[in-house]
Amino acid sequence: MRAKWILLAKIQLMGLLGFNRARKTDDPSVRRKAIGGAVAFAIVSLIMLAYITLFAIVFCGLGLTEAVPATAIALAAVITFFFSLLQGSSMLFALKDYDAVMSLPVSRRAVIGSRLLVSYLVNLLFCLGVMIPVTAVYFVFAGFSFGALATIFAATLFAPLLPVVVATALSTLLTALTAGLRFKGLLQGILGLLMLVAIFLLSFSLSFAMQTDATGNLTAAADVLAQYIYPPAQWITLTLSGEGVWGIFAFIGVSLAAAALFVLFIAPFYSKINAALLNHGARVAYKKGDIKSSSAFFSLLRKEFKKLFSSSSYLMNGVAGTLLLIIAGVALLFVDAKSVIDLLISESEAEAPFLVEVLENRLPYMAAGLLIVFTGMSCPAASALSLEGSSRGQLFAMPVSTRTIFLAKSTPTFLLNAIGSLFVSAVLCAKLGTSADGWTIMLGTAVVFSAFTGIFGIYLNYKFPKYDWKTEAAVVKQSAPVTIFTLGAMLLGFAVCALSVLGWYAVVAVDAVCIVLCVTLIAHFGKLHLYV
Amino acid sequence: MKEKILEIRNLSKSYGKGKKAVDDLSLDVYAGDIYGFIGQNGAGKTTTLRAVTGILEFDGGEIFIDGKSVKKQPVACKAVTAYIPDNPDLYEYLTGIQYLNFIGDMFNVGKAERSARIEKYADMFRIAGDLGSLVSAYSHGMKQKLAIIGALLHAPKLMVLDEPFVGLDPEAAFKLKQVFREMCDAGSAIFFSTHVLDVAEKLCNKIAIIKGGKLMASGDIDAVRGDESLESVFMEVLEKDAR
Repeated sequence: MRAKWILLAKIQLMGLLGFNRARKTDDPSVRRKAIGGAVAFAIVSLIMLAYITLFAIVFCGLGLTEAVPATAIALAAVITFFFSLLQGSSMLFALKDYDAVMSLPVSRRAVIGSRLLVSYLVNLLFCLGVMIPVTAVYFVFAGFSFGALATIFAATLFAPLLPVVVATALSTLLTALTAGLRFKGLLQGILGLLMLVAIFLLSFSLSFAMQTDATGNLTAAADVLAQYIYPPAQWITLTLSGEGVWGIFAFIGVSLAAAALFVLFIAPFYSKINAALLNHGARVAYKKGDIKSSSAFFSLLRKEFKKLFSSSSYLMNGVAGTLLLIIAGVALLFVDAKSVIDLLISESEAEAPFLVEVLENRLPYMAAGLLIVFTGMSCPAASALSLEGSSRGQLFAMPVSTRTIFLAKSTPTFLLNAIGSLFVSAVLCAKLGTSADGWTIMLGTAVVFSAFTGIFGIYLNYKFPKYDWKTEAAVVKQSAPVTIFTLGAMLLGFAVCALSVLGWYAVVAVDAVCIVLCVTLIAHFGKLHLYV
Repeated sequence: MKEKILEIRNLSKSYGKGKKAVDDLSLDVYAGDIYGFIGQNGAGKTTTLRAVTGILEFDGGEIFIDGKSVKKQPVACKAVTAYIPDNPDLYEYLTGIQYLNFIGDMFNVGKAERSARIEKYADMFRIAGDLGSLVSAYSHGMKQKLAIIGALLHAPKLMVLDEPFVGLDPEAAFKLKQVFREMCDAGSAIFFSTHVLDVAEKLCNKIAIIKGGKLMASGDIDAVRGDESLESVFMEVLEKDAR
């Protein structure tokens, strides 16, 4: 008989991935949507695989073959940690099926273990996506050996465990500290974002300190990642280079021990934290002044903002990219970017003259590509419809057009992203002393892609809705529209960044297509009806 | 002649491959009617109610509310309708009063009317002292009461309710029946599903019995039950094949 925690995890995964529903449904449209989502996800994943393969080839070509697996694992672990932190503790606490699960004859440890297993498996999929192409490239350059294959396979298998455990433990701490408060969702979201900023600043300062000592080459950069940002990754290099077989066992041991300790430590507090989260405090009457009226659009918009700021996982996932943009903007304020670029130009004149033109004239266009990457990371609109969940019937029964609903749902995405990206664009252009066309392109892209993120995000959510969730994290972090949009924007942004070496054409083309799509979609929204 | 508020013509809805949830159903609800809709679990009651409110697409037939097609003019139909599902899942991140403001804005209810109605119904259902609390703090019954107040806020012409008495305390159930009667006296109509035959018998002037998606009996309650109790008629109807 299978362990109960594995059975619990299996049930959660069935709900999360939606395969079972697609397999068993009589409704062809549900199956079509599931297949469509899988195909879109597969296309984006294939492009991502191509990117990773390309990066791995470039690294190996530069003579960094030995460091490539550990660097890739460290990178995958850092990304897993980042996204697990964004997810917060929502996979663990206050799930809709809490009462049902806790009434089963299973221990709290089994429940926690099953929740952790699901988080781990979802992140493992991502790590496999990174490590499979990297391993293939590694063997092409370093030659194949069963020992290395076993080491990389074991390392990949356990790579997401420690980041998931550490991120969940930090989020659990925040949840436990705020569980009894009235505005816990907002507080958890803000504290989570502050924690994210602190961790980022800490890791940046560490890597900065390391790089000043290093020779400044790519080997040093890879080492920074493996040694300072994710130290266990260097144990893998030890085993791969034959310096110590113990390295991989230490990596596995530390990962498993952290998971076991977390489950054992949280179990006694699990019910208490859930009870505090589900306890809603004293009665509060209303005052006459609380009765206010506004238009349907602004009322919907206010509801969307309230939703965004009442759920920690929605807030953290919804504004992560915007926050990174604002951090980048603030950091830029304290950096003499012009002098750095001038120094790079003078160094490039002799060794790489083609870089001079890029550094002098193309940086704003390339930065616009990066703007697309980070804006795409903040797309609350891609989950705004799914979050209506079982209450969607109420919204759909209201006498307002689908266009009004969709515009209200996409506006927070647009506003938050526009604020963040306009700020960083203005700082960057001012610091670089950019010409008028550079300013126009950066500010234009900031507004256009922010609008596109909102409009296309809600459209993707309309095409691939997921209403039967048990935790909001399943929608705001792991649903098809969010994944497709985030990865798609990442790939598009990097492509724009690379193509901008040639001039402004790529970014202007992307902006033009985004404008056309926005106008078309807004017109199309007027013809749609929402059904449960 | 009373005004026809709801007209359902040959409504059909299938789920998946040919599984008919509602099959060629037709009925009319007039101003002043309290129309009870009864049937077993899975008979097609909720499907019909959802189709009427315009949140479920249907395959065949037509539905008119206040003379307008639910398919062609959904927003106009929704503007005069209120719907309360069997298990109202309200926005838990709003307070009760924020929720009511939201509903008021959606239905364009003026501030003065809004204020008067909230005060009246919040006092009636004894929930005024909780309207400043988050909806997530409400019990099932309190959520039900809040949903009812929200539904009454725009004085709808047609009120569609799915099992409205489940979860309500006896006093609230009594008050709701009173509100139904007041609304009907004012020219609105109530169309609701229920499993509680006693409620249907005492409250409704018209009744429809549905089985396997087909309408088995409908019309004035006196005509449907004759000299028998509604329970006996219901059990007899369930034994028969669809007419």
